[in-house]
Amino acid sequence: MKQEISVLMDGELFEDEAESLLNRIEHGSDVQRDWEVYHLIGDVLRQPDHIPCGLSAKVRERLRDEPTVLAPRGHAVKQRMRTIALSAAASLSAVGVVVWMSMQISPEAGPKMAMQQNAARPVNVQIQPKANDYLMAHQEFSPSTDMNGGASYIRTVAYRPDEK
Amino acid sequence: MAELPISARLLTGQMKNNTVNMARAWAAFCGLLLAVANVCAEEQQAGLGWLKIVAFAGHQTDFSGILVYQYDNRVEASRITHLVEPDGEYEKLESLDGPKREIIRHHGQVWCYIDHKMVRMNDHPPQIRSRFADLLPEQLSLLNVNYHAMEGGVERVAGYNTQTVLFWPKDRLRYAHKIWVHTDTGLLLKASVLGEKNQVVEQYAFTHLQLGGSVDRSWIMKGKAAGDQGTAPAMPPEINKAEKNQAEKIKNSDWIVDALPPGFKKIKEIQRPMHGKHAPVTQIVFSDGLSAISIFIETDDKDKDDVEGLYSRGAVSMYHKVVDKRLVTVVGEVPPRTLMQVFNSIRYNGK
Amino acid sequence: MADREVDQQLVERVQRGDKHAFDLLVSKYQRKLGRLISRFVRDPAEAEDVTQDAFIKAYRALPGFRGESAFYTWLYRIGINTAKNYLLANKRRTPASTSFDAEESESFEEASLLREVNTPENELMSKQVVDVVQASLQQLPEDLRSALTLREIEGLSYEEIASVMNCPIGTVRSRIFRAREAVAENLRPLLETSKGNRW
Repeated sequence: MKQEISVLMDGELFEDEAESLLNRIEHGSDVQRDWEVYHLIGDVLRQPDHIPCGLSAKVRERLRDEPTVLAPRGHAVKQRMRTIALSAAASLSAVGVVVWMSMQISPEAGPKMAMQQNAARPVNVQIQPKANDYLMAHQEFSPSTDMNGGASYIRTVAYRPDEK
Repeated sequence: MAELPISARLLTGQMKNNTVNMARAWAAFCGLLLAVANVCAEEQQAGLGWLKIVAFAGHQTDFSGILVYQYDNRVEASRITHLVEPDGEYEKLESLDGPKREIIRHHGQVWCYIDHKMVRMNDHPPQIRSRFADLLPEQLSLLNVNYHAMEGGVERVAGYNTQTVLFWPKDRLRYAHKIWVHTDTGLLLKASVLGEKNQVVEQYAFTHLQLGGSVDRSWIMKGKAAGDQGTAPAMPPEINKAEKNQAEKIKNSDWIVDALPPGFKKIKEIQRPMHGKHAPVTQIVFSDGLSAISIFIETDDKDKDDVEGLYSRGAVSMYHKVVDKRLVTVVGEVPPRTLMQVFNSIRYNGK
Repeated sequence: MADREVDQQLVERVQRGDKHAFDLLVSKYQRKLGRLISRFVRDPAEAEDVTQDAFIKAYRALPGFRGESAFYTWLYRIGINTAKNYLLANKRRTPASTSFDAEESESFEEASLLREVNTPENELMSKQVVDVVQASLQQLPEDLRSALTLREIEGLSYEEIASVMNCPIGTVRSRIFRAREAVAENLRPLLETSKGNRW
């Protein structure tokens, strides 16, 4: 049973097996406790400075008094797609290797102070102050502004004008 | 399509332990990954989910921090502050090295520090966005089509745990993007734009961050008062309506761009005043969900200082030139080569 | 990440009336959500209350969750809204400071540590848990440790781990489980002794 919980939490049980396991959960059972401690282990591994948490027991208490929620069925149930048999993929691995070899991949090493100059890039001309107006006008509508917020404008703030 | 997931996976840091054995195992695994298309679909949703969180958190959270921006062998530090007030969001960005440069944004308005005072840069009606604006669905669907989104490992940025997400383009005409999302708050702590050889084209990262009530709010009055031509409008009740109006404004232009990279859609076309210009300028904006290209068209003011040419800084490139008696400028977060292709394909199709 | 499918499956069970499934979701996300909310609500005891409220709110709102986003994305938004409403209701805005000095501002790390310290007892407990987990991990045979690390820290699926470690998936499954159990065995006495406390 414990191993099933371990596999379930990783999403590696087939749906029917998961359903059957979940059907067996009773309040206060070992399933609950094992699930809890296995998740604690993962959280601690990822974040060593974690905070203590006695939360789940208290929420469980409060939940008991809550009216049971029910949602109408009928929305599309996501089909769990299981990975395909390994043998089918083997024939593609050759292609994969070639491609992999051709790309010079190195683990992302973090910010590099001296960045590689892309040889194909044209001569790097200082953006003139006037050009900055276009840049700002562009930033107003660029999706990068949605994602990065004001940080996108750092491009306009960061220029070194020729002290006009 | 074939090569993308593998190299991208490797880039996401799942190759941390770079032993020879692991490398061989990964090589063998490549084929597997190709076959498991369903994994990509899940990951796509997961990656987009993070982006939604990032946008949400960025708009919702009061924060202030120091941002280090690296581009073209340069490093610049700035302080960025974002606050949420009853009348909307306020954002300030100020340079921490060199001469004072400052930008304040509120309600779609942008103020810039010029000649020792804050000057409002745009005069058209403020962009009305939802208070805690999520990414526009349009933008997300464009992104979904043009990029593979995939989660990487958890990495530490300046001491905080972040989830990495990589957005890998489907062609080489645009950049890849990698983001580091703080797992607790959802804030974007680091972002980089990657070029063809997976080199970092530009990158910014927080080195210090402060949240919540202790962030200074006193500068907000300054932003409201300075250079203000009229009061900011009250918060609009209906957001969707306003956005619909904006969409209607996208009319068919007399200007045609033949060689846009696949997946770029026109998202805006407006006549707008611009700082330092005497007449309104036409701006047409195309986007693929993550990058944008703006085309500005205006009458040629025969400015001798305007040197025709290709400029670039970090991920942004710009090119302008007189075409058919008009000054055409193209700005975009795309590789210079792509920008030139776009520029060269612009033509006038009107009277 | 296949564990999102688990979330979806659990959500669907909750929507069919299975409250226990929600308990599992709470167990899974309690620390994450707690950390998020503690960024807004400084006092640890209040933060915990607000986190509980957020979970209850999420439970009540679950019928309306259609899986258009990942469960945690949805939960996260509820967490933020609950925290903000709480702050508004209690008017917890710190008055604006007059100066804005880079040197004076707290760094993120410091602030977070300040918030997380509760009683010396809890601090000690927290540290003990971390120590036990780390020590247990070190004591594991290498193949078990690698499997667990690849799963929990790198987020690889069983299939990916099988490929990396060059072994069958069944072995991966077994190694991860045995690693977890080994660590859990050391943890359980620690957790049992503090029953009735905040743990």
